[in-house]
Amino acid sequence: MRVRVDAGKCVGAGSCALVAPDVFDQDDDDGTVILLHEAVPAGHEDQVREAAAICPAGVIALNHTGG
Amino acid sequence: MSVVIAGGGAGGLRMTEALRQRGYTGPVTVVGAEAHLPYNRPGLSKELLRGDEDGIWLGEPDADVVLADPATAVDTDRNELLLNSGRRIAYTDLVLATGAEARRLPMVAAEAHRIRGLDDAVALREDLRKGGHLLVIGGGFVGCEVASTARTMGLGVTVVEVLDHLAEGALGPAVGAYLSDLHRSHGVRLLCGRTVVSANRLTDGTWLVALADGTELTADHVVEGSGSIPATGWLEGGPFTLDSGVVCDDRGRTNIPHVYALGDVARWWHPAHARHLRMEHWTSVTDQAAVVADTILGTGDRPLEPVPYFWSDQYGVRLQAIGLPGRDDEVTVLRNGTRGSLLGCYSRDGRLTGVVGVREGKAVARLRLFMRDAPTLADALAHLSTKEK
Ligand SMILES: Cc1cc2nc3c(=O)[nH]c(=O)nc-3n(C[C@H](O)[C@H](O)[C@H](O)COP(=O)(O)OP(=O)(O)OC[C@H]3O[C@@H](n4cnc5c(N)ncnc54)[C@H](O)[C@@H]3O)c2cc1C
Repeated sequence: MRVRVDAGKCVGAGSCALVAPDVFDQDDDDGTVILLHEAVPAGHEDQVREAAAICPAGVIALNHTGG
Repeated sequence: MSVVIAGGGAGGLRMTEALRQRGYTGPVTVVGAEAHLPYNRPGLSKELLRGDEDGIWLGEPDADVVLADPATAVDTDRNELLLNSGRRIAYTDLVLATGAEARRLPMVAAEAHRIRGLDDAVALREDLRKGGHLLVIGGGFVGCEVASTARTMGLGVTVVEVLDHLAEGALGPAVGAYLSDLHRSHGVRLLCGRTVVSANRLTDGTWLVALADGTELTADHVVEGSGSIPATGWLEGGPFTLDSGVVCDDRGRTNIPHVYALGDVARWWHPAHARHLRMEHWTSVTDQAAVVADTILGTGDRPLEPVPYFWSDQYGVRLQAIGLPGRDDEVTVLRNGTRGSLLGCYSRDGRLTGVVGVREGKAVARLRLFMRDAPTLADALAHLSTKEK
């Protein structure tokens, strides 16, 4: 599974980093998402799905091809 | 089954997305008063106003979208939404998401700019591009953001605010004073603790604004930023319980079965706070849409995210708030950093009510989980000091 973020539209609520801290981090200053792994590490898929579903700005996109 | 959403803004889009995410493939109709597809309303006083249109569109709902045809009433006997054109749309479940309208003070002439919709922001932008001096009536968040954007565009800016500091009504005097200093340092003339008694456009197109203390100000453009009121006018006289918004339970249900409300128009019951609250935050719409979709479809029973979040961008710095920081709360300012950062913990009777940060994005967001357990101020300060080590 791969994940993409549109950081330009991120509003810094940090929901993703709360549910999937190994995949998403935040900028110290404005809280904008920082993607740590484009290829989701094994075992973190559910967390990342959850993060995409609850992202208040809808900026997290999943791509299942390849896995 | 057929879901109809009245309101083509964030609520219309997020509600449709939440239904589709849960596997609902049946009909959804989104009815909007404006001629536009859902757009990024927070950007109206920020990016869009200064001319950056890149992020303006939010996306098209996967639904039948009716534009420029406002809903005028709900026929709850026949389960139909009535539109201005005369059209009636049958629903099994209806979501009211008509947002809010800009408040209009009676002493400010109708030609003053107010920003609620895209067309308002485009009209203001055209005026700001002419340069000159802008006078902002009301120093709330929208007023502050417009002032900041106009300064960035090179205009002279005056803000008249009835309270002693900018954003004091929302965040109290301590953070308000910080924002006042920020604006002053960017060359804004602040007239706080002053009341506008009249604002009129003269025959030459310029403005004359009179204050209660006798001061007279002139300006090329006037923006009124005096807050917003829930868009419930079309529901008045109907069967819904209205009280500055559509009154809902903690799942977004109105008093009428199969009718829900969310977003700026809705006043939900919040069990943790034991009262009804109307959130006017962009991210609350997504949180509420998830709960309403679960309730309609029976896909889950997860309660609403209990810690609200909002942000505001001014002069390239971001303010963020979680919880319900109140004007009269006690504020413990933890950091007042040299790089312009600020972290304030709000409390009432020893309980943490909210946290506000400027340039503290990560710190504020990370406290959201912690805030869910209604911590005391002492817990919060201890938690923060261990994080710092
Ligand atoms: C200038 C501005 C800046 C903002 N900045 C921020 C920010 O930085 N951070 C933040 O958290 N929040 C911000 N907000 C608040 C945020 O935009 C709102 O909380 C959010 O848009 C609410 O979504 P909604 O769907 O409830 O209402 P809206 O987005 O207002 O959508 C409601 C839609 O319903 C339509 N409508 C109204 N009446 C009818 C009718 N009778 N029939 C059909 N349609 C109707 C309206 O035209 C509108 O398109 C800002 C708001 C404004 C105006």
